[in-house]
Amino acid sequence: MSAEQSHSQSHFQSHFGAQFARREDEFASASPAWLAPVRRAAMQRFDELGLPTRKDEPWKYTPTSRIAKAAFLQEPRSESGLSREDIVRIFGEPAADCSLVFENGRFTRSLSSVDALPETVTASSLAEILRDDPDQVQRSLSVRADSLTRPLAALNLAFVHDGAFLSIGSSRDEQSIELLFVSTRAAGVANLRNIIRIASGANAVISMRYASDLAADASVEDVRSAGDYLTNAVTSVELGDNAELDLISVQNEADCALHLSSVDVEQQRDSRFRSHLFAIGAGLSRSEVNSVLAAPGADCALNGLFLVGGTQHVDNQTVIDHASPHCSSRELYKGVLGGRSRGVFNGLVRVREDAQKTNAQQSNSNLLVSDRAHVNTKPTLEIYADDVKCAHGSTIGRLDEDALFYLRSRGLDERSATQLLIGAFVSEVGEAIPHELVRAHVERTVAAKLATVTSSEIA
Amino acid sequence: MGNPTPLLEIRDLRASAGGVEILKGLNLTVNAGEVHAIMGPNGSGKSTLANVLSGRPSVEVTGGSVHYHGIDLLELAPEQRAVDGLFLAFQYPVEIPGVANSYFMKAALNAARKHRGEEPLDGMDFLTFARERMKLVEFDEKLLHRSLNEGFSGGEKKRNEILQMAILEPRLAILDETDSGLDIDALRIVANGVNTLRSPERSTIMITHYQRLLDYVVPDFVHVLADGQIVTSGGAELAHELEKKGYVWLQTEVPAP
Ligand SMILES: Nc1ncnc2c1ncn2[C@@H]1O[C@H](COP(=O)(O)OP(=O)(O)OP(=O)(O)O)[C@@H](O)[C@H]1O
Ligand SMILES: [Mg+2]
Repeated sequence: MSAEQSHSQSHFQSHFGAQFARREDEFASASPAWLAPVRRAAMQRFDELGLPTRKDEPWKYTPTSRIAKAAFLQEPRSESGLSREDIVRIFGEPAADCSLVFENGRFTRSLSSVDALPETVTASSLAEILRDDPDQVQRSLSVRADSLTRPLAALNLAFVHDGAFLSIGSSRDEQSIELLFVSTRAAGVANLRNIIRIASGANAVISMRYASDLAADASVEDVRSAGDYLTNAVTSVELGDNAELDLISVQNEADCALHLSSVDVEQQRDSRFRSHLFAIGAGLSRSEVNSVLAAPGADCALNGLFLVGGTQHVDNQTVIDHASPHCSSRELYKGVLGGRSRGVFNGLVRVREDAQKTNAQQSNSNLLVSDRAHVNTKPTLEIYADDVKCAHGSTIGRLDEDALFYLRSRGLDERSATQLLIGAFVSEVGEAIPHELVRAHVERTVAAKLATVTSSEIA
Repeated sequence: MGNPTPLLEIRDLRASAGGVEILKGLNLTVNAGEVHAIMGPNGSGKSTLANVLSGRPSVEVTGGSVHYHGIDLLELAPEQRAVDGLFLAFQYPVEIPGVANSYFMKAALNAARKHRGEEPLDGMDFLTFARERMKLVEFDEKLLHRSLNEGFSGGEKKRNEILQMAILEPRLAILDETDSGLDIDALRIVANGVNTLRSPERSTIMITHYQRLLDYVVPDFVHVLADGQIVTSGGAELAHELEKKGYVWLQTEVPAP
């Protein structure tokens, strides 16, 4: 670790330490009593862990100095004056029965539509739950500090104040819900904690979409001097017996965003979890998806697409933990990197001793569309059981020159031909989204990003 | 009738690929309305010539000139040549998973239409037009809705090339061994496609090893390409001679033109 880095790291820590001390009273008045010691323990844990450095294996390729150096000067004001029209401009027309809007990490009821919900569904803000019915989330938030291995998850818990609370009970109909997170300040931290519970036999499609709307920020003229802003989101998901969830995550934040998020899933018997993750925006992002297959018959599919250009850095971390027999998992992550961007894929599939009859497939393929882009990929199988069927692999390639020439020889210009080939490479990730409206949204976002990445490659 | 500008005029063309000189001073003139056949031993440079004409970046032109209806062809990007009516049916068409054949052909046609200042065809209009062309080359519509060439049989790939030709209606079509590996029915269909396009404005260069195709599409000229040069040219009868005697006969009996 360089002296400069260690300095900015300790600055980062003392900054949050001071802020925590300053806000403890405010937290105490808005949260139940049992949360105070949890916060304190989490803050202490964050101090112990420190910011990760490149010496920590899971952070080997990601420059944490950029996180440490960021000037987190102020907590952003939550109200940003966005209207419903703004939300449509930023996120498009609603694609779900119900939507929860969060501005700078805080729920905004006036922009959300949570009225038309059936009785079996609770969709609310964590801040409201902590105020009105905290018992509901006590179990989820009473995380033992020593079980926190990720410093930013510890920080997230210490500062927990808002996020989405979704509880989906069993009903005949599938529930579709959108969580829309928008940042309007080029400074500060959006600390989000989402709790999602899908009850036994219930079935839901949930989208989490992260975007920025910095045009509303007066200080945006000098984004550089204002520094980066940080989204630090932690989402926990519980899937009951035979429950089913498609979770679509679309991260399309501005270049000055640092986006750190994790989704931690626990799957009970015969549950089906499918993650569809799209990491497109942010100057630096790290998206973790971790699933524990805790009971027999559980099935997990992790699909991901990272599509970046310029100087973006995108880091994807996944852990699929086969902790029970007769479970299956499939993982497919695709990366497209242009400009001088950097990508990381680090995927672990662990098959524990008891997890006989596991079926696990893992793959990561990457397409470099620029000579200066780079990707590190590390798919890993860790197998302790003996009667299992597992396979994994990764590839890094470039655009096929022969294919490009074939298309051009028929009249498609270089840009269209390139876009068509990249589009073909990425399409299967979007196609796996079962919900048509959501899929259309995602495909539009991906196509727009694709156009930017290719046009900067082809003069 | 004076002396109109040739559709294609190649002068002393030299080209190399992978650091090896392959075309070594090639001359060829094709006038509008003519059908030329180019024959020659394996490795003599026939596909390289086709690649130079269509603009493959990996082939480097080191000398000579190529004019296409009077303009400097070598100055143009591959896509500019294509929209200006130059078409190459590939010896080995590329498989492109994930790109729908129909989407690709519509994009290709609309690129050419745009170049001509015409409105693009929408999905429905394109399909109507494509169906008519598919009939011409007895093309199974199912293939139109699959990924481009992916998993196509050898014959299906060749037919797909001919369908593209029929849809794009090129001014200069270059067929690189489109007849190789085809059964007699498919060959007849390919020939039919070429003959349908035959007109006083359009020209075709057929690269082939076999007389068979030339029975269906009778060429105005036959050339023999050997070691990077056209070593002899003649009428349709030259192909018969070659079929009987093989290329060895050239080296011993026929003086260079
Ligand atoms: N990229 C390359 N690098 C090196 N050599 C090449 C390259 N491309 C072609 N060649 C060589 O140039 C020669 C001519 O190739 P070309 O494909 O033009 O032959 P052809 O006349 O079409 O043969 P065929 O009848 O087998 O199709 C061959 O010896 C080939 O190996
Ligand atoms: Mg050849």
